[in-house]
Amino acid sequence: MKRIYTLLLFALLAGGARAARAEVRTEDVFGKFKNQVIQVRILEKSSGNKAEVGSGFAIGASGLAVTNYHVVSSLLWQPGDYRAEAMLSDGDTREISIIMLDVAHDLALIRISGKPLAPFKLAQKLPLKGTRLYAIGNPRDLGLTIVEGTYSGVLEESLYEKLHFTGSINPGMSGGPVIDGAGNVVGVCEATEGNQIGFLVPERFISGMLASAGPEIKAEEFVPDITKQLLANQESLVNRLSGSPLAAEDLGPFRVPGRLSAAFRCWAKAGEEKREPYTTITSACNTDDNIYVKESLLTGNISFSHYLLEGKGLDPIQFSALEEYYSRMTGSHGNNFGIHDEDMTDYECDNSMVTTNGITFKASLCLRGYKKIKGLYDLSWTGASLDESRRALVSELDLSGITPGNAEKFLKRYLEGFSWKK
Amino acid sequence: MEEIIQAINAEDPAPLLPAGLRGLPAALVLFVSAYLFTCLTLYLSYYSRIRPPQAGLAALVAFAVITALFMAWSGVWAAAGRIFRQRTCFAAHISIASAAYLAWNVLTLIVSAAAFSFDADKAFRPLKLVVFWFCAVWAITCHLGLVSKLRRKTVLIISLLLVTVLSGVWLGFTNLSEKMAPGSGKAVFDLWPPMFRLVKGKPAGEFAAKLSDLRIRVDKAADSEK
Repeated sequence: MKRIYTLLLFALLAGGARAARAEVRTEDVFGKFKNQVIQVRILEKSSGNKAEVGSGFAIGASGLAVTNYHVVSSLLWQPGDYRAEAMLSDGDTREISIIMLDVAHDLALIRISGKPLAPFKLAQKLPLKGTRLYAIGNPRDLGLTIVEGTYSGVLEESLYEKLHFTGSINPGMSGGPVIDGAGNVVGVCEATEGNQIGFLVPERFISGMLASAGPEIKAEEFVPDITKQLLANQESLVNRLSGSPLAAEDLGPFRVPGRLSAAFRCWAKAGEEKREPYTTITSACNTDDNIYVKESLLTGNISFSHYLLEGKGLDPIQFSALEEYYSRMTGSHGNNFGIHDEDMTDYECDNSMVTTNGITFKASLCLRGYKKIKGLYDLSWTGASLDESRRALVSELDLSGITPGNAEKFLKRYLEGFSWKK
Repeated sequence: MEEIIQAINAEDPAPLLPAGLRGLPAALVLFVSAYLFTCLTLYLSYYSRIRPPQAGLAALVAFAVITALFMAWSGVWAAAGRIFRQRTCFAAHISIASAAYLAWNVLTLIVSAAAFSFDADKAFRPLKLVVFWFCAVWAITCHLGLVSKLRRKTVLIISLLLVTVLSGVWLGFTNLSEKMAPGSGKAVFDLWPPMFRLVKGKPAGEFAAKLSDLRIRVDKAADSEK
């Protein structure tokens, strides 16, 4: 009998807990926390019209707030053309100033003038996968809204730590808080891939900023600060990737550099056309992450591809024409798309043969520099193997936002990753 | 020699094109050679059975294009000859155009193969321009020699000026289009079968160290833009 009472007690407690969870209603969360969320507006100075809008939220003491770096970036790069303001949930507008930036994690710490808003608390630890979360922000400038979603864990295939949020994040919500039912900030809305796939900056990076926040940054300090951060970031990235043995994988008779770390996504594809006198197999890896520097400039990406070509139905000169076609296709610097002349120099290239572990490539090595971020460069390498007359490997490597010293270190390691399969 | 004496007696400039190349048989042989050479290069770069048109059709298109271009080019010179010297010499003009075209393509191919064999793209790249310049100057000089009564020296100076100015315009245009599509043409290299390779490749470390030189070039280019 005693056992039955105990079971009943447990059942009542469990039911109560479920009821407590069910009591968190979205409208209550919205009503309770909406006044702590702001709309960050970047205004074109001469017309006073909105150029960009994002979201933000109050955090810490003395009127501090957090938003995404990409929301305020045009203000940093073109301070003469834009100004920024915060619009509160009651429609009141306040001036904002930038205190600190974390470019790699797309965060900006700002100060809102006037009476401080009630701040959010940080969650301190990550919730369990499947926990219900709420994103608050201003999607497409349509007014403050709340979106329900679930926490789907830490994104493993990413160079820069991100959280996966299953919920609708839309443009304009960038910089807004994603909170649990108690109002603790779990992450900051950053990006979406559509279909309820959203990415958040983990709250731990906010804690880091709050701990080292200083006075307002002067306009002339922004670019040196961004440069310093990007240089430090690529240094730590190359060290991280160099720390473990280079992963190699089989591709026909070759061993080629493979998934260098969990942050790389790799895909392979066999050529579909059976009527051709040659066959192709493509294997490609890349990091999906880009660091947003400004609207026309993304950096911090690493990608490489390998093409195995076999042309049994071709004579050697025809096969070299095929190989040449593939090397030109891969070495055409497709990542130039969207890059403005004012941001990057033109590529400078050098063609020569390189031999690594018995494989000789005819290769092209190209470098271009960032005009406004001194010390950072993009590297592009394309190689076509020259060892067999009807079978070849064409490979390309693209590194963006790297110092020449680290690029050299990475390229040497990458080249040493090629060998013949034993 | 006899021709030269005749030319001196007639107060004409000495002929620039050897007599053997001025007749119809030589013109036909040179034209067919130019066409066959084009077909050969088309065949050797023909790796797809689907994307380009069928081999026969490609040869037909090449024939039509080459015939039309050579006829038009030689026709213009022949017409000029009719106006200035009351003679057309159409076959001779065809010979000049075909010989220059053949020489330019064969020499360019040899330069490309040599650049690959010795892994010296940078050193051989200007040679391609020199080959074009030389063939073009030779062709224009021969054409002008047939259509005008100018002295050899004058003809040569006009050809040199004309080809140099046209090459300059072409280089300027190439440079401009590269500026509009940054990096588009610089990573290009010619590939030949492995048997053409005569030198060893650089070790990975030495190859990667080239980045220091590239950095200097990039920084220099950036500074010059300021």
